[in-house]
Amino acid sequence: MKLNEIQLVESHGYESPNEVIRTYKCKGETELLNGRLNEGCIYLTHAYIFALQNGDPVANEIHKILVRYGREE
Amino acid sequence: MNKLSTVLNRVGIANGLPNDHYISDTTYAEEEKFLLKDSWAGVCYGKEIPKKGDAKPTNFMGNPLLIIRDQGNKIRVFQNTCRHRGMILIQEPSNIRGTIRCPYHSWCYSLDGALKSTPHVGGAGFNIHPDINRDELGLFEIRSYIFMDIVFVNISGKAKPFEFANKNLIDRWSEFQKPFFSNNTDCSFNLSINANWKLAVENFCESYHLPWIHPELNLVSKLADHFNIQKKLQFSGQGSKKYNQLKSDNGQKFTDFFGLSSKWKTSSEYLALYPNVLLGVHRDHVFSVILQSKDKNLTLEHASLSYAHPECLTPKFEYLRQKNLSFWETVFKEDIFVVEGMQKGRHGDRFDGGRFAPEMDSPTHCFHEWVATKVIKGRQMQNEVE
Repeated sequence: MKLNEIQLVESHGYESPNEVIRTYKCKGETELLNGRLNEGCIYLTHAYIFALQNGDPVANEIHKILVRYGREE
Repeated sequence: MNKLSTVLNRVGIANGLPNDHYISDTTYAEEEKFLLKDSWAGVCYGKEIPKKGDAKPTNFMGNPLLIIRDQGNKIRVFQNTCRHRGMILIQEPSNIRGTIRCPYHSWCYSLDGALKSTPHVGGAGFNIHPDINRDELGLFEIRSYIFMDIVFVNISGKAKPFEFANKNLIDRWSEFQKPFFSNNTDCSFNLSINANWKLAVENFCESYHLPWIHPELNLVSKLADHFNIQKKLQFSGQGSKKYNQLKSDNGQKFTDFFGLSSKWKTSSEYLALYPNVLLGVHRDHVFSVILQSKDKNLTLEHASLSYAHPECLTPKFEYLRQKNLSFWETVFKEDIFVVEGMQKGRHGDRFDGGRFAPEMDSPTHCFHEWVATKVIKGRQMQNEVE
């Protein structure tokens, strides 16, 4: 893993950047399903930022959700 | 004490730069601006960021820079500072897969410098705000140009375009504008010198010291085989009419650059491209040295050797590569004591910048003329502003 990935993973206690991204995304989607829009967008924002950093294509999917709720441009 | 204007006299009667250009903090700060930031200065090699997404943070005269090879294989230079709170973005060489994420509040920038996301700027979970126009908040890009695999930057943005400012050298060496092949192991060496960066340029410019400092080099390429090269306010150095290719015991030689004219069969040229890059070209390899000024009396030399064909980097050529590396490293190490000695000598109160050997030192004088011209002009412009 690259230095920035190690920092990311260690600070979250997971095994890979992919796991960090998927975990935040899952939490965000769950919050949205439960009607907690703001909490959902906070988690999805974190998933989005780490996906952007890692060049993970899931960033596009999350971006669309954030744009839909007026949280991204 | 001489006046700076006496440097501009013809070589036979001129004095060299006054002592303060080597030992004064004030003059060092002036030269930092007028010579290094206003010109095209070398900062690193393209080979140091060989892969797409590679990022190298560096510091040029106090300016934190981030040198990146983007996904289109283009090298770009940015100020390594987040547009939010001024945090340093990248502190270690790394490969960036996606965006550059500021480690402080996670503002993200793409490799072309565009600001891609600003998490929570409008409150938790709101990543946009009417006052935050991302189009205006991309990374500051520094003017850059790649020449002979050297990344040149113009920090102030005031220099003429690189191709225009250095047209004469580009034309002179047009036959060497080809792909170079190098590596970061046995094609590089670094030296540290307790001297002002200009003394390294001055020493490199002239062949006068050859028989006294480089006796082994002088055996194959004698003083009388050398000739001066100078282009006023641009570059200066020397050439040799006796270049002997390096050979192994079994006669192996490096591959030549393709399509060179016949003059390069036995010639080589060594030029200081002002301000801080030293270059040498031969039929089968080129070398370059980037002078990194750390203080008025401390300079790092980053040297690189490049070859004409990728096969020269294979194990088959390892012996020759190491021999060539050792040869040039020895030459540059032999120069250290004179460069450091000139630095020490400039603390002599009565030293007046020295006199030039009229027939031998015109390349050095050419460099001093450039320094004096830039500093005089810079001071005049500064006075007008004040």
